Amino acid sequence: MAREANRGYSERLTREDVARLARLRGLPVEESDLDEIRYRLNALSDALAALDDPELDTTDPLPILLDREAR
Amino acid sequence: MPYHDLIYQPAHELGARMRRRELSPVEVVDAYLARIEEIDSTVRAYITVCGDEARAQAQDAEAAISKGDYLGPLHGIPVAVKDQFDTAGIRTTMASRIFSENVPDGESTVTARLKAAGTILLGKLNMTEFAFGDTRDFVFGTPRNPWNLDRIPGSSSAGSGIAPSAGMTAVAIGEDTGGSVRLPAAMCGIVGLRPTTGRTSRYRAFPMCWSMDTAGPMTRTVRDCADLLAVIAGQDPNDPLSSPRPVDDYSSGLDRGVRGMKIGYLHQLINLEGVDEATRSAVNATRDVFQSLGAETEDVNIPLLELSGPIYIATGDSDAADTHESLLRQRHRDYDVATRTRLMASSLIPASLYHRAQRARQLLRKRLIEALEDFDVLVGPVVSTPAPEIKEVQRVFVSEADVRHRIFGARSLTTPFNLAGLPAISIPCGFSGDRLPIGLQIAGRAFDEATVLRVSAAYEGATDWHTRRPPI
Repeated sequence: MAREANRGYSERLTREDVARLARLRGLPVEESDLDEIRYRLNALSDALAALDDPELDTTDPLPILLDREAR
Repeated sequence: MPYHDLIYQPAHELGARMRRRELSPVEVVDAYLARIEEIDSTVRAYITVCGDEARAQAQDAEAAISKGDYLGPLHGIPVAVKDQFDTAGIRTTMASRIFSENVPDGESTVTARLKAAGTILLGKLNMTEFAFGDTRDFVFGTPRNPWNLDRIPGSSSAGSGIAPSAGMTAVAIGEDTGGSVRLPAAMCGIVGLRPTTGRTSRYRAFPMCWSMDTAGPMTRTVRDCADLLAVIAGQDPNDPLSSPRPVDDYSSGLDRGVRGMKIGYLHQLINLEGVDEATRSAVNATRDVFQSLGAETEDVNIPLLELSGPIYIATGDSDAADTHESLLRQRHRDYDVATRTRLMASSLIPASLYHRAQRARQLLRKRLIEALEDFDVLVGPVVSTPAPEIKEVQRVFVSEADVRHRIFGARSLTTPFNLAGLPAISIPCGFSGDRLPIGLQIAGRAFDEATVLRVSAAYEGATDWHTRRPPI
């Protein structure tokens, strides 16, 4: 069964969401950075939601080129 | 000879004259140091210049060559290295405030191999902070494009693009995680090769993304690029990802031409939204050159290519977030704002999204490898427009659309080959109406840098773009 496209977070992140997530991760965050961080994260979630290739779900998430692939 | 003539000679010609003892390495080093003194306060290519050490090494090289102890084509040739590679006893900063006084006690494998080949280290080159792109506040001065000082030289190996282009070194080393060799090469009008993942060692190069970081040569000619790659390539026991495959003799096949070869033009990338007309025209015009040389050209479609930018950010930046997590907790105010917000965002990417991007990465790699069964090389643009203005790149992001346009689109041209681990080069292929260089990207099969260089040499030999010099 094909999976539903994964946007990561279920809603668009707000400044408050970003501040809370960073706090939960123990990362210090500047108030002045919050908008830019949420723009980056929301844009990435949207872009990856566009990944609807039917072959994705049957492809292993290997991170490197294996020598046997290097024909 | 006036030093302006000397500094633009190809490294292989300088080397041949040194071997015949018609030219002293000391004279060459002095010429480059004079050029650095003349213009570096304007273009900011260097973070550290090793003048005294370089002169001493040049005297040693001259003595060795005179005695007949010739080490090879790069013996006595000045080189400058991106400040991401550790150099024992010489400051290595990653262009970061945090490491501004860092002096390593050991040598990266890349710089160790350069030394062993007899090259002379002129200095360490400026870059965007920690090899991320789009730094807003450069600790060691804002690097500027020698073709137009209001424009960026490309990132992240900014100084490695400027220095060969402006005659401030014979050859340079950059590092390419998502395009950081090819982008400055294209914007500065030089040759820059990102080798196959595992072809060059990552040992003691400050990491950005463990699975994509790759050292690469940046030069004024394809032959110099081949010679420099031959020196830095090869297995390294200190890098578990480095390949045991033998290193090819890259320069011996450069003159074999492209007759009978099949060259695929990457339709999605050439026609990607944001690629300007000057760039598209310059890339398309290369078809005539290759056809006149006896190659066959054909369009090729590879689904997913156009999404390479966000796939790269989700995977590569997640790796970088892991590398920087401890520093980010302790020293976050010492990061440039653009680096910091990018790292903060990538620290908050959910694991499921990361894995979806990794699946896409693997699928993209499979499709590129399959396409390269039908074509000898794949070609397309390196960057969507000639070098943009510095003030435009340093602008704060104002919306999600702004991120999509400035980050994802721009990175979809070079990152497919980083994601796939394949070799890709940028060579000069034209100029815009306002005299800014345009690069042609040529990608090949894994560990087949020899073919990528051979195709590049054929194009270079049929055109004169690489002979033009910036006005500075």
